[in-house]
Amino acid sequence: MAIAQAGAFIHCHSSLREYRELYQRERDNLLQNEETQGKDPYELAVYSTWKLSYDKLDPPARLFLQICSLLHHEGISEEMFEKAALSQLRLDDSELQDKVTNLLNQLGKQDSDWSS
Amino acid sequence: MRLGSHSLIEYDQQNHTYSIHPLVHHWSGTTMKGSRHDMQRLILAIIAISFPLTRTDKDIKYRRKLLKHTTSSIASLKPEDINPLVGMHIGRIYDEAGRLKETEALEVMVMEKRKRVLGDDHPHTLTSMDSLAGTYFQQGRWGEAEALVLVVLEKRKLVLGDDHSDTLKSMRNLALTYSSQDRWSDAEALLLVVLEKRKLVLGDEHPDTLQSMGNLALTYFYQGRWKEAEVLQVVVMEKRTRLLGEDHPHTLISMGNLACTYKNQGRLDHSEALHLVVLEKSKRLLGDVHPNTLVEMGNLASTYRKQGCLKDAEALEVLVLEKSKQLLGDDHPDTLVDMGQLASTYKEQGRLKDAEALELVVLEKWKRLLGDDSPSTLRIMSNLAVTYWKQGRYNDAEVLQVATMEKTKMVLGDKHPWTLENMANLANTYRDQGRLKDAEVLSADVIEKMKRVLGHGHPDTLMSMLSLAATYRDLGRLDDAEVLEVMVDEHRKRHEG
Repeated sequence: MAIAQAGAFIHCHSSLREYRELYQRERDNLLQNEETQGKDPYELAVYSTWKLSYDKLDPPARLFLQICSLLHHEGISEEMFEKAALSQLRLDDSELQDKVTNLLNQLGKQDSDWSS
Repeated sequence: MRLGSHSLIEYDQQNHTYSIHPLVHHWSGTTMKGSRHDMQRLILAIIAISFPLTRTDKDIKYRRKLLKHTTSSIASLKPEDINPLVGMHIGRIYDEAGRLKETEALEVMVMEKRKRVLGDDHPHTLTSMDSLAGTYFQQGRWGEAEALVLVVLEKRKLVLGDDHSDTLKSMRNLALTYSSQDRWSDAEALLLVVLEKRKLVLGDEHPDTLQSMGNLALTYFYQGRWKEAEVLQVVVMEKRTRLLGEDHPHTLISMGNLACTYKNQGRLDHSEALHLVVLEKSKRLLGDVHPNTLVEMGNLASTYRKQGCLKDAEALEVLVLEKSKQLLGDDHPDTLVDMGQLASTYKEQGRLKDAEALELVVLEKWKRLLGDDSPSTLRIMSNLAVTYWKQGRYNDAEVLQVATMEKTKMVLGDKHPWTLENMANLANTYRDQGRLKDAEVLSADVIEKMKRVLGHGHPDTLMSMLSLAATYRDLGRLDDAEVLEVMVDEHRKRHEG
């Protein structure tokens, strides 16, 4: 997992050396972070590569990832968000409706294809 | 910056879906800045508004894909945290997955909020009561369903008038609760009214019209009027196949019901073929543990039993019973039916002690659920009597069969197939007690009635003729016996040819 992870990142955005420097800095940050204290070094390495990738994401992509964390981890369809965005249904709770509309708009700001 | 290029997330080109490694999935939750609870509410709302409440094939397939996401995102949310409209939509997802406990909790919440905000008589409030009644109904809680439906029906009559489609829907729901409590003629009377009005207002092919026809067919079925049931069921099945497609759950239900009618008509090959199609589709479309799939498995098993394939029947029935207990509970009517079926298979296998034990339990449960004189109670009494008879306990069998005969004649009428079946069994008991004259008289009466009600070639009619032949032999009237046996033989050959 961690290897596939680093591989993809390096391929697209950095030379290998740059990556090493970034990674080292990120790892030091994580070591000082309370939440990650006590984790073994391999785990830390994994977390830090995720964090690196995550920080490079634009806000809509980050948001999408967070939304996914509350859905089942497999079979998440674009269709659901598209259908919700096009829905004629209006919730009787206008505050909730505004938040939903806002969330869908933020998601919509990103590239239409998140995968390529 | 794109997501897929970092392997944080995988994209499946074929299904257009994303998946995340479980560890990343967990970790990405920790990156959230705001409240997790608020985000859950928003996501649940997004899921809810992504579909209408209509029940086309496409809608149902789509909602099925949402179940696991709904379960994840609803996690720790309490019903009162959920918006009523969102709750109604999410309830539909659970309902179609057969997850009735979750559906009920959501529907109770929706109803209470509607009452508080909109008042007791508002159409939205009534709709929410209607949905909840439907869920009680599916759980076998017919008393609670009936009470709720009656309230809704009265209010709709008052507010909307007698002919409004919502009023008719309530009447139909009331008929279903009657039918499930074995009050078939009450159900029939209501459904005839609903069907006429729907034909007039909506036309012959409207889904609601077809639904009333299917419901009416079932009341015929339960009353043993199989020809009438068959005629209606064939129409409903053909129209639904054409209008909704052959994979739609409503099409499958009508196919499964028709297969049951074929079985009771003694057309076992037709029944088996149709049950197999429905079961395969139900497994694929609804999953292995959906209530509809379980009902269909149970129905196929009883066709196997009638065909004499006892091993197959038993294997299926054990499985169905176990799953029904898990899914619906030990006292749910479907579970009781499953237990009664398994007992019948044990009996055919000669496991008479097992059959007796199971039938005694089921009898007690039916008595508690529907009372001493309900057809379901009488049916299992009649089955238990046969077990006694097979054990050679002729006096126990006789007492039970006489009591059952009196009651079935009163409750179901003297031409109902269950009444006739019990009478035929009593004739066997008389013969084995040596009361040959009583056996002969009763058998002759039963055969005449069976010929009229079930037809000359029906397996039960033929069985009763053989039983009378056996009595003739005991009486030393060998010629009379032979005449009957030859007639049965010819019928069977003709049927096989």
